[in-house]
Amino acid sequence: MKKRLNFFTLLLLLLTMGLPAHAMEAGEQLADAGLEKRAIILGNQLRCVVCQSESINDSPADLAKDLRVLVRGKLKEGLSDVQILDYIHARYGDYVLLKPPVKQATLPLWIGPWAFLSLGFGLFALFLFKQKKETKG
Amino acid sequence: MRPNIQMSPLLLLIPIVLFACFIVLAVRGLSEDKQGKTRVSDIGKAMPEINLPILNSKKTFTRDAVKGQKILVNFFASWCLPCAAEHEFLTVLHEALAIPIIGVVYKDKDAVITNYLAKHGNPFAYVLLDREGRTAIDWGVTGVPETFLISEEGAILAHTSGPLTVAIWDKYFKPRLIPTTLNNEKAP
Repeated sequence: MKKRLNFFTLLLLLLTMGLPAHAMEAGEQLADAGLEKRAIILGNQLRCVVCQSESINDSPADLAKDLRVLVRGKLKEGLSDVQILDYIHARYGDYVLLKPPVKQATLPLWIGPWAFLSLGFGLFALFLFKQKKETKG
Repeated sequence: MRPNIQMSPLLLLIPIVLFACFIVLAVRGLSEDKQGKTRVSDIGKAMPEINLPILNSKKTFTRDAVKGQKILVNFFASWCLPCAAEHEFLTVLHEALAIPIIGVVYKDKDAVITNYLAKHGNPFAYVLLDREGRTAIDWGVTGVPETFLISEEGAILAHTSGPLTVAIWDKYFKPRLIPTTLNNEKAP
């Protein structure tokens, strides 16, 4: 029994270890673990502009790779995370940010899901209310 | 008792219609800086730097080479089919306009580009080599071809991704050819 448990634990561990592999190529990572960590966090916030809903970390596209290299270069130069995001945002616009800034044009993106969730709950409540009324009446 | 069963299909439709509206709004919100294939968020901004080696030359190009002139900057590559498609139009523009066209070769080999230009003709005043694609990133280029119109003062007047066509030229580039002092809309 214990042996089997160990097997499953190992299997689960192995499966989860496969996840952060991403599309990064060998030699891309920075030697400095702290900088590399920041590079990965930054990469997760940047959309691959030539792909569909993928971060630059997840995409094997050429441009995504170039941006990963650029982010690491800027980190080595000593730029802050905000400076790097600004640099890329200034060039590729809101679309490059996986979390677009809140402004009038992007408001539906931010409010929409919550509005629909409330609408769904509202309709569900209405439905329940009606059904109750019907069974009563 | 109210006819609940008859009402529910209508009730069901409402969220679907609303959701469709949401999708349309969301997509619009994300692409608000695009007019067709032109990006308007760039317009009025200063052009990024462009210090690149010139093809088959030991010199480096800087903006000073075309100082005080309007320029067209075209990112292209020999391996890019839409670039070949727009090449003819660039040739037409080169013959019709007094504006120098700067061709920026995106990630290509010198010899291959030399052959390409020998075969298709060379409408460019300068052919620059962006071997690593870093200048393309500086310019916010997502893929070749992309074309920018730059004012005398170095501001972006128009920007399109994808092949430059007569329609795009007439709509977004041609109106901005008039002196920027007269163009009160986005004068730098």
